[in-house]
Amino acid sequence: MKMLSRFSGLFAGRWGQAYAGFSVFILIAVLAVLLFNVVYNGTQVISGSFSKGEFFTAGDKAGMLYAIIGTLALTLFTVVLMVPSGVLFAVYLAEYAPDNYFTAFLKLLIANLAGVPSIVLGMFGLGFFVFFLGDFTDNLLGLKNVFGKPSILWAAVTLAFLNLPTVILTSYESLKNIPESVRLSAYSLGATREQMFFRTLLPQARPGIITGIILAVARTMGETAPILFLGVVFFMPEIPVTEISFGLFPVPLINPLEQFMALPYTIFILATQSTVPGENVNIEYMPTLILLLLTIAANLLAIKFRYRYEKAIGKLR
Amino acid sequence: MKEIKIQINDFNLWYGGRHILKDINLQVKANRITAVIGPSGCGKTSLLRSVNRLNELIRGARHSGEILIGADEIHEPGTDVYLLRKKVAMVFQKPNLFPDTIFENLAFPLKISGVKDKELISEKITAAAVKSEIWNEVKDRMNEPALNLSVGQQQRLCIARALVSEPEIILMDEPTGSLDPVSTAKIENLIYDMKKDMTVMMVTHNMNQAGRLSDYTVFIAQGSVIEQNSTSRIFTTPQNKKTEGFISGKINLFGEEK
Repeated sequence: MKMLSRFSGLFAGRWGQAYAGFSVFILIAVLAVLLFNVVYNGTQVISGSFSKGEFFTAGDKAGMLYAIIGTLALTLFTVVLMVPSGVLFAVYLAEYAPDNYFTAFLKLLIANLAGVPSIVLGMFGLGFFVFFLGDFTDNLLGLKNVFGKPSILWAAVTLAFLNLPTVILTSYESLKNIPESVRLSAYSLGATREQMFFRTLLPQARPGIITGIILAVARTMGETAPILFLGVVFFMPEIPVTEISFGLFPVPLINPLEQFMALPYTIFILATQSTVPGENVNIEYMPTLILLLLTIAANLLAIKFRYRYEKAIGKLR
Repeated sequence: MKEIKIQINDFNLWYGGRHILKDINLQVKANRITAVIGPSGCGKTSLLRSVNRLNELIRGARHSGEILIGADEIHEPGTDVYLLRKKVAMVFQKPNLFPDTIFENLAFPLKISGVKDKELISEKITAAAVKSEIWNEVKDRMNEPALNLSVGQQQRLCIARALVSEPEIILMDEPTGSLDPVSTAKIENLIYDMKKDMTVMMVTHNMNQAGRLSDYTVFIAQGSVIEQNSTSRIFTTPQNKKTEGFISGKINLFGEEK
Protein backbone atom coordinates (compact mmCIF):
# COMPACT_ATOMS: atom_id res chain seq x y z
CA MET A 1 0.00 0.00 0.00
CA LYS A 2 2.78 2.35 0.94
CA MET A 3 4.62 1.67 -2.29
CA LEU A 4 1.47 2.23 -4.26
CA SER A 5 0.75 5.57 -2.65
CA ARG A 6 4.32 6.63 -3.25
CA PHE A 7 4.00 5.87 -6.93
CA SER A 8 0.57 7.37 -7.30
CA GLY A 9 1.92 10.45 -5.57
CA LEU A 10 4.38 10.73 -8.42
CA PHE A 11 1.54 11.38 -10.84
CA ALA A 12 -0.74 13.27 -8.51
CA GLY A 13 0.50 16.84 -8.38
CA ARG A 14 0.63 19.49 -11.04
CA TRP A 15 4.04 18.27 -12.21
CA GLY A 16 2.77 14.74 -12.49
CA GLN A 17 -0.12 15.83 -14.66
CA ALA A 18 2.19 17.86 -16.83
CA TYR A 19 4.46 14.84 -17.20
CA ALA A 20 1.58 12.54 -18.17
CA GLY A 21 0.25 15.11 -20.61
CA PHE A 22 3.68 15.52 -22.14
CA SER A 23 4.05 11.74 -22.62
CA VAL A 24 0.73 11.57 -24.45
CA PHE A 25 1.70 14.56 -26.55
CA ILE A 26 5.04 13.03 -27.55
CA LEU A 27 3.35 9.77 -28.54
CA ILE A 28 0.69 11.43 -30.65
CA ALA A 29 3.19 13.86 -32.18
CA VAL A 30 5.56 11.08 -33.28
CA LEU A 31 2.68 9.13 -34.79
CA ALA A 32 1.35 12.21 -36.55
CA VAL A 33 4.73 13.14 -38.00
CA LEU A 34 5.28 9.57 -39.18
CA LEU A 35 1.87 9.30 -40.79
CA PHE A 36 2.08 12.74 -42.36
CA ASN A 37 5.56 12.13 -43.69
CA VAL A 38 4.70 8.76 -45.24
CA VAL A 39 1.31 9.79 -46.57
CA TYR A 40 2.41 13.14 -47.98
CA ASN A 41 5.57 11.92 -49.70
CA GLY A 42 4.05 8.58 -50.62
CA THR A 43 1.04 10.04 -52.39
CA GLN A 44 3.31 12.42 -54.32
CA VAL A 45 5.58 9.64 -55.52
CA ILE A 46 2.66 7.38 -56.35
CA SER A 47 0.78 10.02 -58.31
CA GLY A 48 4.02 10.83 -60.09
CA SER A 49 4.57 7.21 -61.04
CA PHE A 50 0.94 6.90 -62.10
CA SER A 51 1.18 9.87 -64.40
CA LYS A 52 4.35 8.49 -65.94
CA GLY A 53 2.62 5.10 -66.25
CA GLU A 54 5.32 3.42 -64.18
CA PHE A 55 3.25 2.21 -61.27
CA PHE A 56 2.31 -1.07 -62.86
CA THR A 57 5.57 -1.69 -64.67
CA ALA A 58 7.44 -4.49 -63.07
CA GLY A 59 11.17 -4.30 -62.84
CA ASP A 60 11.21 -0.58 -63.16
CA LYS A 61 12.33 1.16 -59.99
CA ALA A 62 8.82 2.47 -59.59
CA GLY A 63 6.89 -0.75 -60.35
CA MET A 64 4.88 -1.64 -57.29
CA LEU A 65 2.10 -3.83 -58.62
CA TYR A 66 3.96 -7.14 -58.50
CA ALA A 67 5.08 -6.47 -54.96
CA ILE A 68 1.49 -5.75 -53.92
CA ILE A 69 0.26 -8.90 -55.64
CA GLY A 70 3.08 -10.89 -54.07
CA THR A 71 2.30 -9.64 -50.56
CA LEU A 72 -1.41 -10.27 -50.99
CA ALA A 73 -0.84 -13.77 -52.38
CA LEU A 74 1.57 -14.63 -49.60
CA THR A 75 -0.91 -13.36 -47.01
CA LEU A 76 -3.74 -15.30 -48.59
CA PHE A 77 -1.81 -18.59 -48.60
CA THR A 78 -0.70 -17.95 -45.02
CA VAL A 79 -4.28 -17.32 -43.87
CA VAL A 80 -5.52 -20.47 -45.57
CA LEU A 81 -2.87 -22.50 -43.73
CA MET A 82 -2.95 -20.65 -40.42
CA VAL A 83 -6.57 -19.85 -39.59
CA PRO A 84 -8.31 -23.23 -39.70
CA SER A 85 -5.54 -25.06 -37.89
CA GLY A 86 -5.07 -22.29 -35.33
CA VAL A 87 -8.74 -21.95 -34.46
CA LEU A 88 -9.31 -25.70 -34.33
CA PHE A 89 -6.27 -26.14 -32.11
CA ALA A 90 -7.61 -23.45 -29.76
CA VAL A 91 -11.00 -25.17 -29.68
CA TYR A 92 -9.29 -28.45 -28.83
CA LEU A 93 -7.27 -26.82 -26.05
CA ALA A 94 -10.19 -24.92 -24.57
CA GLU A 95 -12.97 -27.49 -24.87
CA TYR A 96 -11.65 -30.99 -25.41
CA ALA A 97 -8.14 -31.31 -24.02
CA PRO A 98 -7.97 -33.17 -20.70
CA ASP A 99 -6.60 -31.16 -17.81
CA ASN A 100 -3.23 -32.89 -17.51
CA TYR A 101 0.50 -32.37 -17.87
CA PHE A 102 0.46 -33.03 -21.59
CA THR A 103 -2.00 -30.18 -22.17
CA ALA A 104 0.04 -27.89 -19.95
CA PHE A 105 3.11 -28.88 -21.96
CA LEU A 106 1.31 -28.08 -25.23
CA LYS A 107 0.40 -24.62 -23.94
CA LEU A 108 4.00 -24.08 -22.90
CA LEU A 109 5.18 -25.04 -26.39
CA ILE A 110 2.82 -22.56 -28.01
CA ALA A 111 3.90 -19.78 -25.69
CA ASN A 112 7.50 -20.58 -26.57
CA LEU A 113 6.77 -20.66 -30.28
CA ALA A 114 5.45 -17.11 -29.89
CA GLY A 115 8.84 -16.09 -28.56
CA VAL A 116 10.99 -17.54 -31.35
CA PRO A 117 12.73 -14.73 -33.29
CA SER A 118 11.28 -14.54 -36.77
CA ILE A 119 14.65 -14.87 -38.47
CA VAL A 120 15.30 -18.12 -36.61
CA LEU A 121 11.97 -19.45 -37.79
CA GLY A 122 12.93 -18.36 -41.31
CA MET A 123 16.13 -20.40 -41.06
CA PHE A 124 14.08 -23.32 -39.81
CA GLY A 125 11.71 -22.90 -42.75
CA LEU A 126 14.61 -23.10 -45.19
CA GLY A 127 16.21 -26.07 -43.50
CA PHE A 128 13.14 -28.10 -42.69
CA PHE A 129 10.44 -27.17 -45.18
CA VAL A 130 12.53 -26.42 -48.28
CA PHE A 131 15.51 -28.72 -47.98
CA PHE A 132 13.89 -31.57 -46.08
CA LEU A 133 10.15 -31.60 -46.80
CA GLY A 134 10.46 -30.08 -50.29
CA ASP A 135 13.24 -32.39 -51.45
CA PHE A 136 11.45 -35.34 -49.89
CA THR A 137 8.27 -34.50 -51.81
CA ASP A 138 10.25 -34.09 -55.03
CA ASN A 139 11.91 -37.47 -54.58
CA LEU A 140 8.60 -39.07 -53.73
CA LEU A 141 6.93 -37.71 -56.87
CA GLY A 142 10.00 -38.20 -59.05
CA LEU A 143 10.32 -34.47 -59.71
CA LYS A 144 13.30 -32.18 -59.71
CA ASN A 145 13.34 -28.77 -58.05
CA VAL A 146 9.58 -28.33 -57.94
CA PHE A 147 8.95 -28.42 -54.21
CA GLY A 148 12.57 -28.37 -53.13
CA LYS A 149 13.20 -24.68 -53.67
CA PRO A 150 12.23 -21.49 -51.85
CA SER A 151 8.71 -20.42 -52.88
CA ILE A 152 5.47 -18.75 -51.77
CA LEU A 153 4.30 -22.10 -50.42
CA TRP A 154 7.16 -22.56 -47.96
CA ALA A 155 7.18 -18.86 -47.07
CA ALA A 156 3.47 -19.11 -46.27
CA VAL A 157 3.95 -22.29 -44.22
CA THR A 158 6.71 -20.62 -42.22
CA LEU A 159 4.73 -17.41 -41.69
CA ALA A 160 1.75 -19.53 -40.64
CA PHE A 161 3.90 -21.15 -37.95
CA LEU A 162 5.22 -17.75 -36.93
CA ASN A 163 1.76 -16.32 -36.34
CA LEU A 164 -0.01 -19.48 -35.23
CA PRO A 165 0.55 -18.67 -31.53
CA THR A 166 -1.28 -15.35 -31.94
CA VAL A 167 -4.29 -17.04 -33.47
CA ILE A 168 -4.27 -19.94 -31.01
CA LEU A 169 -3.79 -17.85 -27.89
CA THR A 170 -6.38 -15.17 -28.73
CA SER A 171 -8.94 -17.79 -29.76
CA TYR A 172 -8.18 -19.85 -26.66
CA GLU A 173 -8.54 -16.84 -24.39
CA SER A 174 -11.83 -15.75 -25.94
CA LEU A 175 -13.25 -19.26 -25.46
CA LYS A 176 -11.93 -19.58 -21.91
CA ASN A 177 -13.27 -16.16 -20.93
CA ILE A 178 -16.85 -17.28 -21.47
CA PRO A 179 -18.26 -18.00 -18.01
CA GLU A 180 -18.95 -21.59 -17.05
CA SER A 181 -22.59 -20.66 -16.40
CA VAL A 182 -23.16 -20.24 -20.14
CA ARG A 183 -22.05 -23.81 -20.79
CA LEU A 184 -24.13 -25.10 -17.89
CA SER A 185 -27.09 -23.10 -19.10
CA ALA A 186 -26.95 -24.69 -22.56
CA TYR A 187 -26.45 -28.19 -21.16
CA SER A 188 -29.32 -27.80 -18.69
CA LEU A 189 -31.62 -27.01 -21.62
CA GLY A 190 -30.69 -30.31 -23.25
CA ALA A 191 -28.00 -29.17 -25.69
CA THR A 192 -25.41 -31.65 -26.90
CA ARG A 193 -21.77 -30.69 -26.70
CA GLU A 194 -21.73 -29.65 -30.35
CA GLN A 195 -24.92 -27.60 -30.04
CA MET A 196 -23.56 -25.96 -26.92
CA PHE A 197 -20.35 -25.11 -28.74
CA PHE A 198 -21.72 -23.88 -32.04
CA ARG A 199 -24.77 -22.07 -30.72
CA THR A 200 -23.46 -20.47 -27.55
CA LEU A 201 -19.68 -20.46 -27.29
CA LEU A 202 -18.71 -19.72 -30.87
CA PRO A 203 -20.94 -16.66 -31.34
CA GLN A 204 -19.59 -15.23 -28.09
CA ALA A 205 -15.95 -15.98 -28.86
CA ARG A 206 -16.16 -14.79 -32.46
CA PRO A 207 -15.17 -11.13 -31.94
CA GLY A 208 -12.03 -12.19 -30.07
CA ILE A 209 -11.14 -14.92 -32.56
CA ILE A 210 -11.51 -12.58 -35.53
CA THR A 211 -9.47 -9.88 -33.85
CA GLY A 212 -6.66 -12.38 -33.31
CA ILE A 213 -6.78 -13.55 -36.92
CA ILE A 214 -6.61 -10.04 -38.33
CA LEU A 215 -3.79 -9.06 -35.99
CA ALA A 216 -1.89 -12.07 -37.28
CA VAL A 217 -2.71 -11.10 -40.87
CA ALA A 218 -1.43 -7.57 -40.35
CA ARG A 219 1.80 -8.96 -38.96
CA THR A 220 2.12 -11.44 -41.83
CA MET A 221 1.97 -8.64 -44.37
CA GLY A 222 4.82 -6.75 -42.76
CA GLU A 223 7.09 -9.68 -41.94
CA THR A 224 10.47 -9.36 -43.64
CA ALA A 225 13.10 -11.46 -41.92
CA PRO A 226 11.70 -14.98 -42.35
CA ILE A 227 10.93 -14.58 -46.05
CA LEU A 228 14.53 -13.54 -46.83
CA PHE A 229 15.48 -17.19 -47.21
CA LEU A 230 12.19 -18.34 -48.61
CA GLY A 231 11.93 -17.12 -52.14
CA VAL A 232 11.35 -13.40 -51.98
CA VAL A 233 13.01 -11.44 -54.79
CA PHE A 234 13.41 -7.77 -55.63
CA PHE A 235 12.67 -8.10 -59.27
CA MET A 236 10.49 -10.38 -61.36
CA PRO A 237 9.87 -10.04 -65.07
CA GLU A 238 6.35 -11.45 -64.69
CA ILE A 239 3.97 -12.89 -62.13
CA PRO A 240 3.96 -16.70 -62.27
CA VAL A 241 0.39 -17.64 -63.05
CA THR A 242 -0.95 -21.12 -63.51
CA GLU A 243 -4.43 -21.91 -64.66
CA ILE A 244 -6.33 -24.40 -62.59
CA SER A 245 -9.35 -25.64 -64.45
CA PHE A 246 -12.59 -26.35 -62.65
CA GLY A 247 -14.32 -28.20 -65.45
CA LEU A 248 -15.04 -25.56 -68.06
CA PHE A 249 -13.71 -22.64 -66.05
CA PRO A 250 -9.96 -22.17 -65.98
CA VAL A 251 -9.11 -20.05 -62.95
CA PRO A 252 -5.83 -18.16 -63.05
CA LEU A 253 -3.95 -18.62 -59.79
CA ILE A 254 -0.58 -17.44 -58.67
CA ASN A 255 1.69 -20.45 -58.70
CA PRO A 256 2.62 -21.04 -55.06
CA LEU A 257 5.69 -23.00 -56.08
CA GLU A 258 7.42 -19.98 -57.56
CA GLN A 259 9.34 -17.04 -56.14
CA PHE A 260 7.59 -13.80 -55.36
CA MET A 261 7.97 -10.10 -54.70
CA ALA A 262 6.84 -8.57 -51.43
CA LEU A 263 6.40 -5.00 -50.19
CA PRO A 264 8.51 -5.19 -47.00
CA TYR A 265 11.39 -6.79 -48.89
CA THR A 266 11.17 -4.11 -51.58
CA ILE A 267 11.49 -1.46 -48.86
CA PHE A 268 14.45 -3.31 -47.39
CA ILE A 269 16.31 -3.59 -50.68
CA LEU A 270 15.60 -0.02 -51.74
CA ALA A 271 16.94 1.18 -48.41
CA THR A 272 20.07 -0.94 -48.23
CA GLN A 273 21.22 -2.02 -51.63
CA SER A 274 21.46 1.23 -53.53
CA THR A 275 24.76 2.12 -55.17
CA VAL A 276 24.03 5.79 -54.66
CA PRO A 277 22.95 6.30 -51.05
CA GLY A 278 19.87 8.49 -50.75
CA GLU A 279 18.91 8.12 -54.37
CA ASN A 280 16.01 5.80 -53.64
CA VAL A 281 14.51 7.66 -50.69
CA ASN A 282 11.72 9.07 -52.82
CA ILE A 283 10.73 5.78 -54.33
CA GLU A 284 10.85 4.10 -50.96
CA TYR A 285 7.87 6.10 -49.76
CA MET A 286 5.73 4.19 -52.19
CA PRO A 287 5.95 0.62 -50.81
CA THR A 288 6.00 2.09 -47.30
CA LEU A 289 2.72 3.91 -47.81
CA ILE A 290 1.08 0.92 -49.49
CA LEU A 291 2.14 -1.44 -46.72
CA LEU A 292 0.94 1.02 -44.10
CA LEU A 293 -2.42 1.34 -45.83
CA LEU A 294 -2.80 -2.44 -46.09
CA THR A 295 -2.07 -2.84 -42.38
CA ILE A 296 -4.45 -0.06 -41.42
CA ALA A 297 -7.12 -1.60 -43.64
CA ALA A 298 -6.68 -4.94 -41.86
CA ASN A 299 -7.01 -3.26 -38.48
CA LEU A 300 -10.11 -1.31 -39.53
CA LEU A 301 -11.60 -4.56 -40.74
CA ALA A 302 -10.90 -6.07 -37.32
CA ILE A 303 -12.63 -3.19 -35.57
CA LYS A 304 -15.59 -3.43 -37.90
CA PHE A 305 -16.05 -7.17 -37.35
CA ARG A 306 -15.65 -6.89 -33.63
CA TYR A 307 -18.19 -4.11 -33.47
CA ARG A 308 -20.69 -6.05 -35.55
CA TYR A 309 -20.39 -9.31 -33.61
CA GLU A 310 -20.33 -7.64 -30.23
CA LYS A 311 -23.47 -5.81 -31.18
CA ALA A 312 -25.01 -9.08 -32.27
CA ILE A 313 -24.40 -10.67 -28.89
CA GLY A 314 -25.58 -7.57 -27.06
CA LYS A 315 -22.34 -6.49 -25.42
CA LEU A 316 -22.80 -3.05 -26.90
CA ARG A 317 -26.03 -1.26 -26.19
CA MET B 1 -51.78 -39.82 -1.61
CA LYS B 2 -50.14 -38.33 -4.65
CA GLU B 3 -48.12 -40.49 -6.99
CA ILE B 4 -44.35 -40.45 -6.67
CA LYS B 5 -42.56 -38.62 -9.51
CA ILE B 6 -38.92 -38.93 -8.44
CA GLN B 7 -37.72 -41.88 -6.40
CA ILE B 8 -34.08 -41.80 -5.24
CA ASN B 9 -32.72 -45.06 -3.85
CA ASP B 10 -29.40 -45.43 -2.00
CA PHE B 11 -27.84 -42.70 -4.09
CA ASN B 12 -24.20 -41.78 -3.49
CA LEU B 13 -22.14 -39.14 -5.27
CA TRP B 14 -18.42 -38.50 -5.24
CA TYR B 15 -16.36 -35.69 -6.77
CA GLY B 16 -12.96 -37.29 -7.02
CA GLY B 17 -12.23 -38.45 -3.51
CA ARG B 18 -14.91 -36.34 -1.85
CA HIS B 19 -18.07 -38.13 -0.82
CA ILE B 20 -20.76 -35.50 -1.50
CA LEU B 21 -24.04 -37.38 -1.18
CA LYS B 22 -24.39 -40.33 1.17
CA ASP B 23 -27.07 -43.00 0.81
CA ILE B 24 -29.81 -40.63 -0.24
CA ASN B 25 -33.30 -42.12 -0.11
CA LEU B 26 -35.91 -39.67 -1.19
CA GLN B 27 -39.34 -39.41 -2.72
CA VAL B 28 -40.67 -36.41 -4.58
CA LYS B 29 -44.40 -36.37 -5.17
CA ALA B 30 -45.90 -35.41 -8.50
CA ASN B 31 -47.45 -31.95 -8.85
CA ARG B 32 -46.15 -30.85 -5.49
CA ILE B 33 -43.42 -28.46 -4.44
CA THR B 34 -40.61 -30.12 -2.54
CA ALA B 35 -38.16 -27.82 -0.79
CA VAL B 36 -34.61 -28.96 -0.08
CA ILE B 37 -33.05 -27.14 2.86
CA GLY B 38 -29.78 -27.46 4.72
CA PRO B 39 -26.52 -25.76 5.57
CA SER B 40 -24.24 -24.43 2.82
CA GLY B 41 -22.14 -27.08 1.17
CA CYS B 42 -24.32 -29.93 2.39
CA GLY B 43 -25.00 -31.21 -1.12
CA LYS B 44 -28.37 -29.66 -1.96
CA THR B 45 -27.26 -28.36 -5.34
CA SER B 46 -25.41 -31.59 -6.12
CA LEU B 47 -28.59 -33.50 -5.35
CA LEU B 48 -30.57 -31.30 -7.72
CA ARG B 49 -27.97 -31.67 -10.45
CA SER B 50 -28.04 -35.43 -10.06
CA VAL B 51 -31.68 -35.51 -11.12
CA ASN B 52 -30.94 -34.09 -14.58
CA ARG B 53 -27.50 -35.72 -14.73
CA LEU B 54 -25.74 -32.36 -14.92
CA ASN B 55 -23.10 -33.64 -12.49
CA GLU B 56 -21.73 -35.83 -15.23
CA LEU B 57 -20.11 -32.78 -16.77
CA ILE B 58 -17.86 -32.43 -13.75
CA ARG B 59 -14.57 -34.25 -14.10
CA GLY B 60 -14.14 -37.02 -11.58
CA ALA B 61 -17.81 -37.24 -10.65
CA ARG B 62 -19.19 -40.75 -10.09
CA HIS B 63 -22.23 -42.17 -8.42
CA SER B 64 -23.91 -45.31 -7.14
CA GLY B 65 -27.55 -46.10 -6.53
CA GLU B 66 -30.54 -45.19 -8.65
CA ILE B 67 -32.83 -42.33 -9.47
CA LEU B 68 -36.19 -43.16 -10.97
CA ILE B 69 -38.36 -40.66 -12.78
CA GLY B 70 -41.76 -42.24 -13.13
CA ALA B 71 -40.75 -45.84 -13.77
CA ASP B 72 -37.51 -45.11 -15.64
CA GLU B 73 -34.06 -45.29 -14.11
CA ILE B 74 -32.24 -42.26 -15.51
CA HIS B 75 -28.78 -43.87 -15.54
CA GLU B 76 -30.02 -46.86 -17.54
CA PRO B 77 -27.80 -47.37 -20.61
CA GLY B 78 -29.57 -46.04 -23.66
CA THR B 79 -31.23 -43.20 -21.80
CA ASP B 80 -31.25 -40.07 -23.94
CA VAL B 81 -29.65 -37.65 -21.51
CA TYR B 82 -30.50 -34.65 -23.72
CA LEU B 83 -34.16 -35.62 -23.74
CA LEU B 84 -33.94 -36.14 -19.98
CA ARG B 85 -32.68 -32.59 -19.50
CA LYS B 86 -35.54 -31.25 -21.61
CA LYS B 87 -38.02 -33.19 -19.47
CA VAL B 88 -36.27 -32.17 -16.25
CA ALA B 89 -35.65 -28.46 -16.63
CA MET B 90 -33.47 -26.41 -14.33
CA VAL B 91 -33.35 -22.81 -13.12
CA PHE B 92 -30.18 -21.53 -11.48
CA GLN B 93 -29.53 -19.07 -8.70
CA LYS B 94 -28.26 -16.37 -11.02
CA PRO B 95 -30.05 -15.76 -14.30
CA ASN B 96 -27.88 -17.32 -17.00
CA LEU B 97 -29.32 -16.07 -20.27
CA PHE B 98 -27.20 -16.18 -23.39
CA PRO B 99 -25.87 -12.84 -24.62
CA ASP B 100 -28.32 -12.89 -27.47
CA THR B 101 -31.80 -11.52 -28.17
CA ILE B 102 -34.78 -12.35 -26.00
CA PHE B 103 -36.26 -14.33 -28.87
CA GLU B 104 -33.14 -16.41 -29.44
CA ASN B 105 -32.99 -17.24 -25.75
CA LEU B 106 -36.56 -18.45 -25.67
CA ALA B 107 -36.26 -20.31 -28.96
CA PHE B 108 -33.01 -22.07 -27.99
CA PRO B 109 -34.57 -25.24 -26.52
CA LEU B 110 -36.77 -25.63 -29.61
CA LYS B 111 -34.00 -24.93 -32.10
CA ILE B 112 -31.70 -27.53 -30.58
CA SER B 113 -34.56 -30.00 -30.80
CA GLY B 114 -34.71 -29.34 -34.53
CA VAL B 115 -37.99 -27.42 -34.56
CA LYS B 116 -38.02 -25.24 -37.68
CA ASP B 117 -41.69 -24.28 -38.00
CA LYS B 118 -41.71 -20.57 -37.17
CA GLU B 119 -45.36 -20.52 -36.13
CA LEU B 120 -44.87 -23.43 -33.78
CA ILE B 121 -41.83 -21.74 -32.24
CA SER B 122 -43.67 -18.48 -31.73
CA GLU B 123 -46.69 -20.33 -30.31
CA LYS B 124 -44.61 -22.28 -27.81
CA ILE B 125 -42.46 -19.42 -26.61
CA THR B 126 -45.54 -17.22 -26.23
CA ALA B 127 -47.20 -19.87 -24.07
CA ALA B 128 -44.10 -20.25 -21.91
CA ALA B 129 -43.63 -16.50 -21.56
CA VAL B 130 -47.28 -16.01 -20.62
CA LYS B 131 -47.01 -18.75 -18.02
CA SER B 132 -43.88 -17.11 -16.59
CA GLU B 133 -45.67 -13.74 -16.50
CA ILE B 134 -42.93 -12.10 -18.52
CA TRP B 135 -44.85 -11.92 -21.80
CA ASN B 136 -46.24 -8.40 -21.35
CA GLU B 137 -42.79 -7.08 -20.58
CA VAL B 138 -41.00 -8.68 -23.52
CA LYS B 139 -43.55 -9.12 -26.30
CA ASP B 140 -42.52 -5.87 -28.00
CA ARG B 141 -38.80 -6.29 -27.40
CA MET B 142 -38.18 -9.80 -28.70
CA ASN B 143 -35.21 -8.66 -30.78
CA GLU B 144 -33.49 -6.73 -28.02
CA PRO B 145 -30.52 -8.17 -26.15
CA ALA B 146 -31.80 -10.25 -23.25
CA LEU B 147 -29.13 -8.86 -20.97
CA ASN B 148 -30.78 -5.42 -21.16
CA LEU B 149 -33.58 -6.71 -18.90
CA SER B 150 -33.49 -6.23 -15.14
CA VAL B 151 -32.19 -9.15 -13.08
CA GLY B 152 -35.69 -10.04 -11.90
CA GLN B 153 -36.98 -10.03 -15.47
CA GLN B 154 -33.99 -12.07 -16.58
CA GLN B 155 -34.76 -14.71 -13.99
CA ARG B 156 -38.39 -14.92 -15.14
CA LEU B 157 -37.12 -15.18 -18.71
CA CYS B 158 -34.90 -18.06 -17.58
CA ILE B 159 -37.97 -19.74 -16.14
CA ALA B 160 -39.84 -19.13 -19.38
CA ARG B 161 -36.93 -20.63 -21.34
CA ALA B 162 -36.98 -23.66 -19.07
CA LEU B 163 -40.73 -24.05 -19.64
CA VAL B 164 -40.52 -23.85 -23.44
CA SER B 165 -39.78 -27.55 -23.82
CA GLU B 166 -42.75 -28.36 -21.55
CA PRO B 167 -40.87 -30.20 -18.81
CA GLU B 168 -42.47 -32.62 -16.35
CA ILE B 169 -40.15 -31.63 -13.56
CA ILE B 170 -38.50 -28.30 -12.82
CA LEU B 171 -35.46 -28.09 -10.58
CA MET B 172 -34.87 -24.74 -8.96
CA ASP B 173 -31.55 -23.95 -7.35
CA GLU B 174 -32.25 -20.96 -5.09
CA PRO B 175 -34.21 -19.25 -7.84
CA THR B 176 -34.66 -16.06 -5.81
CA GLY B 177 -31.20 -16.09 -4.24
CA SER B 178 -30.02 -12.99 -6.08
CA LEU B 179 -33.28 -11.06 -6.32
CA ASP B 180 -34.97 -8.15 -4.57
CA PRO B 181 -38.17 -8.74 -2.52
CA VAL B 182 -40.57 -7.66 -5.26
CA SER B 183 -39.00 -9.92 -7.90
CA THR B 184 -38.87 -12.69 -5.30
CA ALA B 185 -42.59 -12.39 -4.64
CA LYS B 186 -43.34 -12.57 -8.37
CA ILE B 187 -41.26 -15.70 -8.77
CA GLU B 188 -42.76 -17.33 -5.70
CA ASN B 189 -46.22 -16.81 -7.19
CA LEU B 190 -44.98 -18.36 -10.41
CA ILE B 191 -43.60 -21.41 -8.64
CA TYR B 192 -46.84 -21.83 -6.73
CA ASP B 193 -48.83 -21.83 -9.98
CA MET B 194 -46.42 -24.21 -11.66
CA LYS B 195 -47.38 -27.22 -9.61
CA LYS B 196 -50.61 -27.54 -11.57
CA ASP B 197 -48.57 -28.71 -14.55
CA MET B 198 -45.36 -30.12 -13.15
CA THR B 199 -43.35 -31.31 -10.21
CA VAL B 200 -41.15 -28.73 -8.54
CA MET B 201 -38.00 -29.49 -6.58
CA MET B 202 -36.46 -26.39 -5.08
CA VAL B 203 -33.34 -25.60 -3.10
CA THR B 204 -33.73 -22.60 -0.83
CA HIS B 205 -31.82 -20.90 1.95
CA ASN B 206 -34.86 -18.94 2.96
CA MET B 207 -36.81 -20.82 5.65
CA ASN B 208 -39.81 -18.53 5.23
CA GLN B 209 -39.87 -19.29 1.54
CA ALA B 210 -39.73 -23.02 2.16
CA GLY B 211 -42.55 -22.68 4.70
CA ARG B 212 -44.70 -20.49 2.46
CA LEU B 213 -44.34 -22.35 -0.77
CA SER B 214 -43.56 -26.00 -0.36
CA ASP B 215 -45.74 -29.00 0.33
CA TYR B 216 -42.88 -31.22 1.36
CA THR B 217 -39.51 -30.42 2.86
CA VAL B 218 -36.29 -32.40 2.86
CA PHE B 219 -33.58 -31.46 5.33
CA ILE B 220 -30.06 -32.40 4.30
CA ALA B 221 -26.89 -32.01 6.33
CA GLN B 222 -23.40 -33.17 5.46
CA GLY B 223 -24.60 -35.08 2.43
CA SER B 224 -27.25 -37.15 4.21
CA VAL B 225 -31.00 -36.78 4.39
CA ILE B 226 -31.74 -36.03 8.04
CA GLU B 227 -35.47 -35.73 7.76
CA GLN B 228 -38.19 -35.56 5.14
CA ASN B 229 -41.84 -34.92 5.68
CA SER B 230 -44.69 -32.61 4.81
CA THR B 231 -43.64 -29.02 5.30
CA SER B 232 -46.17 -28.39 8.05
CA ARG B 233 -44.84 -31.34 10.08
CA ILE B 234 -41.19 -30.41 9.55
CA PHE B 235 -41.77 -26.83 10.58
CA THR B 236 -44.05 -27.55 13.57
CA THR B 237 -42.94 -30.90 14.97
CA PRO B 238 -39.55 -31.88 13.59
CA GLN B 239 -38.50 -35.35 14.67
CA ASN B 240 -34.78 -34.71 14.61
CA LYS B 241 -32.94 -32.31 16.90
CA LYS B 242 -30.72 -31.10 14.05
CA THR B 243 -33.74 -30.23 11.93
CA GLU B 244 -35.25 -28.31 14.78
CA GLY B 245 -31.99 -26.49 15.39
CA PHE B 246 -31.63 -25.55 11.73
CA ILE B 247 -35.20 -24.35 11.25
CA SER B 248 -35.28 -22.37 14.45
CA GLY B 249 -31.94 -20.77 13.51
CA LYS B 250 -29.95 -22.37 16.33
CA ILE B 251 -27.74 -23.99 13.71
CA ASN B 252 -26.57 -21.47 11.17
CA LEU B 253 -26.24 -21.91 7.44
CA PHE B 254 -22.77 -23.31 7.83
CA GLY B 255 -23.94 -26.05 10.16
CA GLU B 256 -22.37 -24.56 13.26
CA GLU B 257 -24.29 -24.29 16.50
CA LYS B 258 -24.71 -20.77 17.76
